[in-house]
Amino acid sequence: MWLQCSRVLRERAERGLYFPINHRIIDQRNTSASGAEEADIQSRYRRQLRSSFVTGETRQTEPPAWSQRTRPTHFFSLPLPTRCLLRVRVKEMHDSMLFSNAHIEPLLIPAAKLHVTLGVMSISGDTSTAEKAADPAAPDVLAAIQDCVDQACHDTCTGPLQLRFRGLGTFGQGRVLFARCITEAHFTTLDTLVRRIRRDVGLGLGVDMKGNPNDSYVPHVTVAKLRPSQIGEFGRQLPMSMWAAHQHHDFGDVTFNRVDLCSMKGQGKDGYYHVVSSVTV
Amino acid sequence: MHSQFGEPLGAAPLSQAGTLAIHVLLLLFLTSLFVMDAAIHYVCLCVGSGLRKHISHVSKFGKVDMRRSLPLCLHSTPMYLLSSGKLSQYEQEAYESHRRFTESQTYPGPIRAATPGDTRFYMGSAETILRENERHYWRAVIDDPHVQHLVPLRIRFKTFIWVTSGWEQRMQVVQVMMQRDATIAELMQQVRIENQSPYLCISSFKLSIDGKDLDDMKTLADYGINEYSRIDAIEENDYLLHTEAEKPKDWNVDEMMEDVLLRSPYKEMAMQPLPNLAPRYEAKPKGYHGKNDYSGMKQSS
Repeated sequence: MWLQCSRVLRERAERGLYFPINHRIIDQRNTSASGAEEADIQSRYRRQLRSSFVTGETRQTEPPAWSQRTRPTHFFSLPLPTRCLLRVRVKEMHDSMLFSNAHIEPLLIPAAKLHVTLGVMSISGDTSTAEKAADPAAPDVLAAIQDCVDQACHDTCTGPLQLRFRGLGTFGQGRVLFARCITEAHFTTLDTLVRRIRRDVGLGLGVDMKGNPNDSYVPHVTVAKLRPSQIGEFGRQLPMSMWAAHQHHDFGDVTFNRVDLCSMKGQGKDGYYHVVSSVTV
Repeated sequence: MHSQFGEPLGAAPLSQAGTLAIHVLLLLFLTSLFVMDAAIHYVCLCVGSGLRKHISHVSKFGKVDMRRSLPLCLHSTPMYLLSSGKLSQYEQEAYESHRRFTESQTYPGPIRAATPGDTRFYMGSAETILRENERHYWRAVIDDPHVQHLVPLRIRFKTFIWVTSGWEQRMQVVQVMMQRDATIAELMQQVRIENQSPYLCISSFKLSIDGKDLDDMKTLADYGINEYSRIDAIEENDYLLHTEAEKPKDWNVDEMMEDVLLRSPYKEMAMQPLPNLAPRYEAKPKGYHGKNDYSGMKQSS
């Protein structure tokens, strides 16, 4: 018994390649001489080599530096219909996250606020750095944006959008956790719509759409978020152990029939954001 | 041909006058050689004063090849461009360009589809990790300077390596990826996590740059720590390592007690040779560095 056991253990240790291929790593950030003679440099390189599929990191459209300094004020969203599978499943996921560690409650987005973000912008009227006392100008901009969205929806969408949500991803070094909108069903239509809106609003109206107006935006349903004020308490990023179990969770299909322009500050009715204007697809 | 001492070879049948003439010629020849040598020396000095900086760079880099001729040295190959003198210049230029880039007011932002990341599938058998702005493919475009969120920091430890003829003190580097706004305490924690050697981080250690300790509470930005800063880890008993008590015992010269052989490094080192000489360590013979140990300065002995 003991002999067999020890032999099994020994064989386990010898199993596999002599020099496993995932250990064959050359770090070229160091000088070529330093690794060989001066010192040996050790690190857990597999951490750096983890791909974005594993870490869930997603490249969102990156705003330029001047636009990063101003906070976004408004966003386009697809509001969830009143009864939908996505909201129920996200609620379930929140519950299971809270069950494992209860103190993360302030990080989770309440179910009433769930929406699909289609684009974020900062309208210069509120910032008052670029233009002074532009508050009277803001309604004009909002009305013009409304027209653009209306036109774009009219042109691109033929009917209500059916989108499919599966899997989780992160933005901003793991600070924002979201449910992915995968590229099935009517995603292409949505993408065309988003590009169209971004181009019209960003280039035509000159609104600061966080990022290049010719670029597209990754539509997402934000599920949990670490605000800058919470960093001191919760650390720099959402721990992956929090959401790893749900990383490829299926959140179901949702059919949307409205595009909203929402304001980030202020509460609207029943806990949702303040809706500035909405367009029926 | 003349031999080394000026005796003409095969000149036996020559007359007295002939030998005299040959001696005179030889003298002339030698004096001309001296003059030429002096002239060459002078020219070399003139040129060399210009070249000296370059050559010292080369020799500092440690890649100097004695057979390499002077005109080859004059070529600035990329290896020399990456040498220590140029590094700070690159750093400074990159920093300035990044600052000017962020000051721009009208930049629309990059397009994701046009700024590809790196590939993980490329030719060659080993995986290579490049810098953040480098790619495994040829990208002639210079990308936007962007902030490195994770900085690779190198922490230098000292370890004792068993080179069969004794212990050798060497440098071991632990490389960690840290966020730019991390504190020193987080950096130390990360080092403890990343370290895979059982002989480092046994006791508590402090980080220091140029011998000055870093405060735990401060962040990397407070000290201006970047990828190139040399961070040392000073362990607890490092200041005692010159004493016999703290130095690891060497069974070539020390007596190994029973209890010592059951303790950490000696237990797995297996002093008594097994049939397969089981943990086989590297070996460096006694006279490897000559009579003295390795030193940065040339020791005359």
